[in-house]
Amino acid sequence: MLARSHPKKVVETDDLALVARIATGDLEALGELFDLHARSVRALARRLGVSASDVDDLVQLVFLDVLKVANRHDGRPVRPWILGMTAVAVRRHRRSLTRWVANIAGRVFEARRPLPGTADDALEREQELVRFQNALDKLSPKKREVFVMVVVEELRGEDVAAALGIPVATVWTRLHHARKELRVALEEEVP
Amino acid sequence: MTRCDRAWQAEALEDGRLGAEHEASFERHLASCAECRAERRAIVELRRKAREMPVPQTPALVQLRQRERLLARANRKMIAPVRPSRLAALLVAIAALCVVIAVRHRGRAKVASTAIAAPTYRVVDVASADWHVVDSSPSTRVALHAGTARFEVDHLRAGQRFVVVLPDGEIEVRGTGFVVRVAGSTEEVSVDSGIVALRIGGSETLLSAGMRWSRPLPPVTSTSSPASAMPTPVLATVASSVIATAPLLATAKAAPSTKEPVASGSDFGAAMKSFASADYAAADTAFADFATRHPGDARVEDALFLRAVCASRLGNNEGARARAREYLARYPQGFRVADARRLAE
Repeated sequence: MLARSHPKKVVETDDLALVARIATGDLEALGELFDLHARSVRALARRLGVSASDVDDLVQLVFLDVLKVANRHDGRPVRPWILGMTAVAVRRHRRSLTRWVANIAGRVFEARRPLPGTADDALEREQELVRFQNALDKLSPKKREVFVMVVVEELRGEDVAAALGIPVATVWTRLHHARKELRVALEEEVP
Repeated sequence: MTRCDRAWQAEALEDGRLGAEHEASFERHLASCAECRAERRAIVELRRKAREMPVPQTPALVQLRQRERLLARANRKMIAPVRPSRLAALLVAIAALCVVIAVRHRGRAKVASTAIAAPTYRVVDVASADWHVVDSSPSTRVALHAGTARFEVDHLRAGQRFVVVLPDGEIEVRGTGFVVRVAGSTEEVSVDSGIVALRIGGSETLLSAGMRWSRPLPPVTSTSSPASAMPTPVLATVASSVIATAPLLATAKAAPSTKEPVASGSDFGAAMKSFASADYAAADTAFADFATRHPGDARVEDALFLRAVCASRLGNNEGARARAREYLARYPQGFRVADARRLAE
């Protein structure tokens, strides 16, 4: 029997306490929250298409946003809350015209090719990842953020809905179409 | 892709959307349905590929530097004074631009408004009218020397004035149509529409539609008194169509001297000469003499105003204020009202 995907069990108590401290202006707590979640924020931003050159700035902006809105945190789980803010920050980032142009140029000049001299199985795996990345890049931003947040980041549909400000049913609909489009794209790319 | 009705449950199972009972049921179904097993396998494979996507790891040192950078930025944000956002700054800039444009536009409008056109009017020669245009500026002056003329003036706009200069006074138009008869001096003014201000003998009388002013008969007993020569306005309300019906006064025709305009002109000229040469004390005396000797002359208005200016230039501010007030009281609609008000303050 194939294993099922389970949302990560995260101990929220510490996170909630940190957010409460941040709300009082405790920058040490912000540093601790950064230690706990910066890698997730960075990974999500990269999977949502933020370039390597921009991702550091974006991570900084997300945590500065946390500092700004911590006093309005409503007690919901912190990790989906931060990842939701990351998705919103990525949307903002995408809307920036100069970054959009730079991103396009980066994709043109940044050819995803397997490294020469690798072993056959590694080469095949590398090609598979390139195909998957290409298929993911073809998704619309809305489907992509739902797919990445649910499937890769293992967030619950309800948390994603709350983080993105959309109904849960919309999350499942977008996820269904994202999967469908990815499978079609991967089948088309099979050599 | 698949034909089994329960294939959708493969995705629901993956997402944890099936209840415990349905999960168990679907898992039993999977054992017997190849299509659902394939669907389930495809979804799991998609998840595997997605999670295998590499994300470059950040070295610990880089992570530490970024943490420090974040805290430094956060610290600056917290201690820095609240600054307007870019959007707010942009809105303020746009508002400032709008104000500048509005002010400049208003300024242009003000400049444009100063280019006032001269009033439009028609002069109808009723009976041997001898008239000519003295000034065709927005403050138009038309002199009527003799005869009877009808003046039709279109509605005056702001800044426009229309004055009929008479041998012994003047009529300023506030409205539209009136008839003036002059025989040596002003004999009769009939207003059939609007309002005019008649200034004769140093006093101002408003005549509205239907009113007529005619020179009164001089008292029989007074033959030498200067006061008898002073015209006293007599007002009579008449139908607008009835004009020039008042009996003409033969004695009034002979009253003013034919040399009077020449004498008053030389007196006023002498006063102006002193004024132009900055001899304000002499000019003040000359203007006073002129106003006394020629009380019916239209230039008395100028003389009164210039006496206030003379006092001002001689440093007699109190005297200047008093004369300016006197001018304003006598000519509330005069040509020099604006300047006189400044002197009177």
